[in-house]
Amino acid sequence: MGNRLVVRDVQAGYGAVRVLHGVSIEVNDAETVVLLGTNGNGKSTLIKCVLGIVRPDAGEIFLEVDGQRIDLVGKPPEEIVNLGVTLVPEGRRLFPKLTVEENLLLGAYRPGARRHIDRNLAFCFETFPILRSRRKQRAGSMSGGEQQMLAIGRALMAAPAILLVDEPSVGLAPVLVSRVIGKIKELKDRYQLTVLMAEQNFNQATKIADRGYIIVHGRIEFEGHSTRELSENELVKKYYLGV
Amino acid sequence: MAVYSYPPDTAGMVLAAHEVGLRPKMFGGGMVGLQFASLLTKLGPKLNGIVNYDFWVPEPTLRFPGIEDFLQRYQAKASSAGVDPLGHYLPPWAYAYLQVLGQAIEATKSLDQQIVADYIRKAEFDTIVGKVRFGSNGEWLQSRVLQVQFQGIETTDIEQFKQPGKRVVLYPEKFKSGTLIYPYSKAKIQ
Amino acid sequence: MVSLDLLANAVVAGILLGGFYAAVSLGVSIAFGLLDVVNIAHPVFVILGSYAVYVTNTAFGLDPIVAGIVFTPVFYGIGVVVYRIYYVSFEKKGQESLRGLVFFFGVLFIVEVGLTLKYGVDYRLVEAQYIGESLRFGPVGIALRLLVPCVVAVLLTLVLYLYLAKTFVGRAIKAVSQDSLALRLMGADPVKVKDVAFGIAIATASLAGALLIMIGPVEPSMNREYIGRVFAVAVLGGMGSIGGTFLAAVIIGVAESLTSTFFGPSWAVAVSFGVLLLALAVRPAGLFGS
Ligand SMILES: Nc1ncnc2c1ncn2[C@@H]1O[C@H](COP(=O)(O)OP(=O)(O)O)[C@@H](O)[C@H]1O
Ligand SMILES: [Mg+2]
Repeated sequence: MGNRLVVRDVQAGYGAVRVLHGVSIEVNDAETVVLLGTNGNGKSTLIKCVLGIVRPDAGEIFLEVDGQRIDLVGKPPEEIVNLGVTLVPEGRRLFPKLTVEENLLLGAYRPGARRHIDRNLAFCFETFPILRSRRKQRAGSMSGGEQQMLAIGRALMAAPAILLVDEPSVGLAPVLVSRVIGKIKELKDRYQLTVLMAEQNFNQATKIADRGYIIVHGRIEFEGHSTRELSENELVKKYYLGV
Repeated sequence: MAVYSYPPDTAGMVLAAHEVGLRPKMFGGGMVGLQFASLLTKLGPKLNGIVNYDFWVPEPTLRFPGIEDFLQRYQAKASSAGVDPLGHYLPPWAYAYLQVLGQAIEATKSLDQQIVADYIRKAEFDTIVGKVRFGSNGEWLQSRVLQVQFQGIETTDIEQFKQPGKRVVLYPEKFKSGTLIYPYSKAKIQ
Repeated sequence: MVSLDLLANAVVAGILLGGFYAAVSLGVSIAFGLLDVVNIAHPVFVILGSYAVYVTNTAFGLDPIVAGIVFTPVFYGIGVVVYRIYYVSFEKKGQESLRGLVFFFGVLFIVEVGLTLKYGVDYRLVEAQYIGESLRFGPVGIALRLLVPCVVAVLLTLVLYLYLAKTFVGRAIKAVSQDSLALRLMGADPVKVKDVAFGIAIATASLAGALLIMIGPVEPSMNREYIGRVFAVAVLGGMGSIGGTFLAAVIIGVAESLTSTFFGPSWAVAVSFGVLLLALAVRPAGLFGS
């Protein structure tokens, strides 16, 4: 093993609008890193840059797999996914007319994941028993929380080396947020997944994060080397804890 | 049993007649499509016994001067032009009508439509489909629509349709070249 | 008084005809139902398939079904090329709705006129041992030239159903128009997935063409009779549901057969739209749509 994701001095935006102004973050092997920021600060844009959906104007993004560097900038999303970088996108983006099972199997599309499909499917069903009982149900007809579980399950089917999760809490009732976050933590603890999670729900995110960054207006304003450092930060107190 | 149909249904009717084992006393009539090679060479022996209309067939009674030469020239060009390789059905009459027009213009030495038309209604013309006369209403004085019966067809080979005896003329009496095999089922077996 | 024998024969003929309609419509179900590509040129590719089969049947005596299968890779290739042109010229620029339709109209006329120039307007037929033969079950006769196409259509439906349900690319084809970015996040290139899907859709036209020319004679402009019917079947079947397409085709086949038997064939052409309107009034998503 030994996977590391590095984002260095990335600038990016949409047309003439610059959203990211030189962002640098790192995610090391078996770490769970949280990218904290309220709405519109550029979390999703950064994640899209990593996956090749948005092309940075400057800076570098690369993967280190067993010490070998693989540049991601300029590669199309499907190629980046095939390297083992998997995203649970904001708003889940399931295939609503397909069944739960079909969604999960599509998660294992990349050649690297097909070999382990049975094992990973069993693992998904074990982690999210609801998915097993709803196997034949259309994804679009499930509740928001179930859909979020499915989105995570589908990403796990890709046997990711690095898992990116963009705001899993969006649109979920608080009790469901806890449950979803709890599941991610469970996965991380059991399988030493490498996770980068964008969140604005500070309390939930810090439950599972090893450390994190705070992004404000497209700049990393603070890097916390532990959750304690994060919660003691003035920015956090101001924006998230209402102190 | 009389059938009046366009080519797709003609083929369908002939096939269906065999599929359901139809046994009428006579079968045919006004089926469009049983005059040109594309259907004849696919239906082959299934045509036997059908009595159907036509305009020209290679029977001895219809071998007028010039027709052989015309068909030879037509058939040589037909395949590259993508038209019916036999050319029995419509081309002889198409050519004959132009002969009629040519002869009328030469005889009257006129291009005036009224004069040419008057002449055509009166005169007799010698064409590759024989002598042709028109009545005062502009139609044929005597109908030239043939009723032919398919007889003795054993294969789907196109060459056989250039031979006499495969589509014998039953009517008009003047061009009669063979006898009706009756009932239909008797001709079908042959 | 309706004769029971006649009714039974009409229903059986309708089911067989419907099976054939399914073979012609499956490609539209994939292109229109799953890819959102309004390929009104599909029936002309079916006619092209008929001519490919006609040529090999006439020249080498090749069985029509075998010929239809032999040509599927060629038609697959044609499908991929046509989709690529469509994609680069229209879909990529977001102009597919109107200009894309015009594009397929153009394809339709080019193929139709090309066939007319090459082969003329004569009707073409093929030969095979079983054409003109039939089986009898009591009062009901089954023509082999209708039974064989229906059996082939059932097999084609089954193969497509299994392909879409059981393979990775098949599932991607079902997903691609729902969310193409999400599909990229699964590691699939949506354009390549659509290449394959459209290739398969056109490949089915080769086989459907073989069935068409086996049932009756074919000429180039005949494709137009099928445009309305295949889209009616695809919509009635629930846009992209393979099993639904087959059932919808059988329903329309039976309705047409009953109409021509008891009210005359002139009404039969109106049947597909009649059935479609009726069904959509009751179930707007089609029989099997969601
Ligand atoms: N597709 C887009 N086109 C133009 N502007 C966009 C687009 N997506 C996001 N933005 C803008 O970029 C900024 C950052 O958005 P985003 O990265 O989605 O933030 P976050 O995920 O932190 O809420 C916002 O101002 C947003 O309006
Ligand atoms: Mg966001």
